[in-house]
Amino acid sequence: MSEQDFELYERIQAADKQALETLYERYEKLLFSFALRMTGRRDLSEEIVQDVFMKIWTKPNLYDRSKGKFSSWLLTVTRNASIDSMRRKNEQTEALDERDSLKSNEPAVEDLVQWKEEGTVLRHAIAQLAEEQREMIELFYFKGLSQRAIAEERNIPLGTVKGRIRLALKHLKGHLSTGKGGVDGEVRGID
Amino acid sequence: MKCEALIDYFNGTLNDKDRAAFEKHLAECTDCREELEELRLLTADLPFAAEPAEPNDGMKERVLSAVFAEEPVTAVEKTAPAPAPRKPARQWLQPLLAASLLLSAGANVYLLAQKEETDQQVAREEPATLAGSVQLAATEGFNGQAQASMVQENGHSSVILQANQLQVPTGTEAYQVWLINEAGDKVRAGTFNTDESGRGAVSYTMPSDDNWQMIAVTLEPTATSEQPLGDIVLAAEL
Repeated sequence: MSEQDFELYERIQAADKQALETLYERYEKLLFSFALRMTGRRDLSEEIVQDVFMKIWTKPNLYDRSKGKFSSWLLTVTRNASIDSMRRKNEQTEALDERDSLKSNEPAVEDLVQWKEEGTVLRHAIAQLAEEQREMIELFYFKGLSQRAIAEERNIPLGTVKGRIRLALKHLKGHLSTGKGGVDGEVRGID
Repeated sequence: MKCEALIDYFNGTLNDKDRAAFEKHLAECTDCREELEELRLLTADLPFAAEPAEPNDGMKERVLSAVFAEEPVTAVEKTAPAPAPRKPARQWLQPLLAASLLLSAGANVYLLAQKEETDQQVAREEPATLAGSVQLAATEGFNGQAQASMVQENGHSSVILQANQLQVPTGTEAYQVWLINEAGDKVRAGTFNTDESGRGAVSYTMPSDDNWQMIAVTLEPTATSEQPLGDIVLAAEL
């Protein structure tokens, strides 16, 4: 999978339009969905996806293997573009409600197996977190707020923000590693 | 104190100065490096928590046409031959002269009228030197070729571009030369039309010695575009 991505990226470095189109088709939905998850706005999300592919097309050698897996890198670029976009527009955006996540009956993604496998499990694990921890992850990761903004939003001391974020993320990881088998079973039951 | 900037560094909310300071700190602080790595690991899967959403109608066409309207830097690298090695300035007098002659029929008369004054100037100023020269190759779907010479003259730089085999512009269309710097900023560097056989040339005094990365020629709908609107026809790296 990542090998194919890297080959596509190499072809894009040689200005292969077909390769960019293939890469676009492969990631359009994931990147759009992720941007939408962050910004809550379809128009901004389209701009963000365009920004990301514009960078890949016009700026040579942005990615190399030292930056880790291609898909992880692409998602980080998308997250940064989303944070920039939210900051630029300076708009309050409504997050999509986590609790609605399990009601989805969107068709499965054919290519991005990881998304299909992990998405439901992840959303389930996030939903299991305490409200306070879910909020920390929301404000820090999906809203990309500064430490000060998070402290103000949650009305907590500035010095405690980092610790609370780490704790929330570790709890989430904990839920994922212990709860995985059970959730998988549940998912299979639904399918 | 510095360790507390980790969250803002991760989210890119630091200003340039603070980011540079934190990166310096990061090189020295093992704890911060480990915490940063931990944050990356712990958040690596979070994008997959996004609920699958159908992209907007027609999004793929819009995005790809916007992206492909931009010239890939690497395409130019591929199609443009390597810059010609520096040669003594004298060898460039010929193309320079040709460039002047191609400006237009009217320009010839003007140049003749100016000749005397020019001769006087040359006599008391430093001789012009060639700072570099590149061949511009046609991009996909276009014809033509050009040579651009950078000339140092009396303390400023000029670019002289001479093209042939171009498509003859119609109506208000005109060819425009652009200099593009590292940041992707595009600066107009002259406008020209071609004669009936698709030959054209222009010289332009550069506003500053920016670190120009690329020279390109576009076919613009009018001669007045402040930013390129038309397709890139010819390009080369500098």
